[in-house]
Amino acid sequence: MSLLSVNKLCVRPKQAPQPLLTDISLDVNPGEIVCVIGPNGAGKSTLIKSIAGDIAHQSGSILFENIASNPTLRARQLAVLPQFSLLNFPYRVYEVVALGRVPHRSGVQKDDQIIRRCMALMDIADLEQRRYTTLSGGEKQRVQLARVIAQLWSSRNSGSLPRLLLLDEPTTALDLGHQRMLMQTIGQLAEQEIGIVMVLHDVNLAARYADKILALRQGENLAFGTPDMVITQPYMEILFKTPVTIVPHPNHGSPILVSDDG
Amino acid sequence: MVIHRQITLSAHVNQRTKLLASFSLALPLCFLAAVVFGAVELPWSATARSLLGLESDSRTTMIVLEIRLPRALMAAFIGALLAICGAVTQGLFRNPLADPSLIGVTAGATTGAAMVIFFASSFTSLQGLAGLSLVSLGAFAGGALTVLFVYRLATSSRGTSVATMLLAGVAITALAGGLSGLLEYFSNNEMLRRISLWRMGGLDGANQQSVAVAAVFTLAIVFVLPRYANALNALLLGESEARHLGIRVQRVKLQLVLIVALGVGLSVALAGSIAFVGLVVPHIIRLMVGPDHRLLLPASALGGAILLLLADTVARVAIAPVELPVGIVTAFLGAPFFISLLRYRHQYGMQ
Repeated sequence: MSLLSVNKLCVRPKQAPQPLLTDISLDVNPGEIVCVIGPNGAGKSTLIKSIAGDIAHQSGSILFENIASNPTLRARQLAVLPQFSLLNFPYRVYEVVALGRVPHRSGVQKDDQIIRRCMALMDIADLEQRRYTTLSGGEKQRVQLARVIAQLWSSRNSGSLPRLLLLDEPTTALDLGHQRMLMQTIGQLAEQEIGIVMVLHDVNLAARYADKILALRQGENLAFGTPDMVITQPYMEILFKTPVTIVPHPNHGSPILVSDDG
Repeated sequence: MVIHRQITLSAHVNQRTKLLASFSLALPLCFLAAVVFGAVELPWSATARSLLGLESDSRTTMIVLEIRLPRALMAAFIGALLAICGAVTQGLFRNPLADPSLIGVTAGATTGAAMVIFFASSFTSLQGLAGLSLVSLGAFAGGALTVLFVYRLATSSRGTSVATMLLAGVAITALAGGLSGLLEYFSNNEMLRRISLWRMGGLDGANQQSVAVAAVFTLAIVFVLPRYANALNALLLGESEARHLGIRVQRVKLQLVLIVALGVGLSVALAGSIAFVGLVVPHIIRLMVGPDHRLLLPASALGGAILLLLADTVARVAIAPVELPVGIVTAFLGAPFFISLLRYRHQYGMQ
């Protein structure tokens, strides 16, 4: 039983000259990490937004298994990190993360514990009392991540509910150390049976942590499968229109993409 | 670790209680001051006794109950209404510069009211409660149309454009001025007299009836709006983000727009246009305790009541015995404030 099944999804807004997504199908199971890769403008964000319900699709279907349709209940099971944040009011970091608890009724004490736990996971505990507007791009990104993680954090009564996390380029503004920290946190969330769909620019990060990878090219499915199936020289050269070499990582053997620019 | 957690939690709670407590203390004091000071300064103790009903049939009691009390009550209610509506508008537009008077809502409400006076005065006298309700309804309709229009125009999925929002306000204020001029041009003497009488209105028109209306609606709005505090907090993240947090965004937006239009329309109908209260008060409170609407909304209501009481006292005392319209005082206070906000808008990430 899959958590999310996207079936032959087509997105073509009226004003768009060509479809943004054509015939995209994918399944996400509980505890599975699905990474979406592809060049700029391939439709990665469009896919996240249509799954999140922010934009309408023209044909195909997006089905959630056992995810409530009531907005408040759904928010406890489905959290979304957008690519850009609009927040320009000087909230304290703690208050922004606390917004993730808005859909819950778990009480001030419990919420406080969860908020602190999520801030520690994203290494922003020291920033707790800082104004969000004074943070750097990477720090803001980590605050928003802590917020969506806090949103899915199970309080006792919803522990067994199916949960899905959608992340649009969560690693872009992060340094190497924080990227690794984030990916490990995501791994922990997956161990708690949370299904994760994330857009990643860094193919190697996707190859290392994903269970499945969807390679999008001009809104179409170029390849979908395990990292070993998708991160191959022919696919990557079609995807990024540049000569590449794939080598195994010296420590754990997952495929690494190296650009052949010499 | 545990101790540290309790300290920060209670520090947070302390800050809130301190602010609300000091405002709740300041409000009765300012209220008393507003009743004491005027063309004739009354003795403090006799004033307090009259207000509490411990003294009757003195000259002081008469001035207090007949003249000063209704006006002070009206100032407090209208101030609370304007400030809380300002705070909500800024949350709705995700923009600390969105004051109902600057984005044209007040002008729209004024025009709505003027049109009601123009078209209805031929068959009703517009006196008393019925007249007041009719004019308020016109102001409400004008205000609601304006907020919806400006919101559509200025807000996209990428946020609210300050320039579009303020320019839309300029355009609507100009349009409203034109419409009012047109109405006056076609008015007969009787209607002209009514429109201009109402427009000069201000707080000095306060009587028992209008204060009762103001009390009912202000208290209702001030108690209803904090229920939207979480939704407004979430909306500041962006509309999609608020939806992902389980907020029914379209419904909440529509309800808030209607409540703001009701508040602004009512204040226009009762007291004419009073600018900048909705800008200055929420901004000062945000500087003190941050933008969390759970605190911002009640604190704004209290702060707005305090500010308008003080401004009206200044308006009555400054060149006594002549009384200035309170709008003049708030304009002198608010305009420099607004300009400094424009100057420092980059702190809010605005262009």
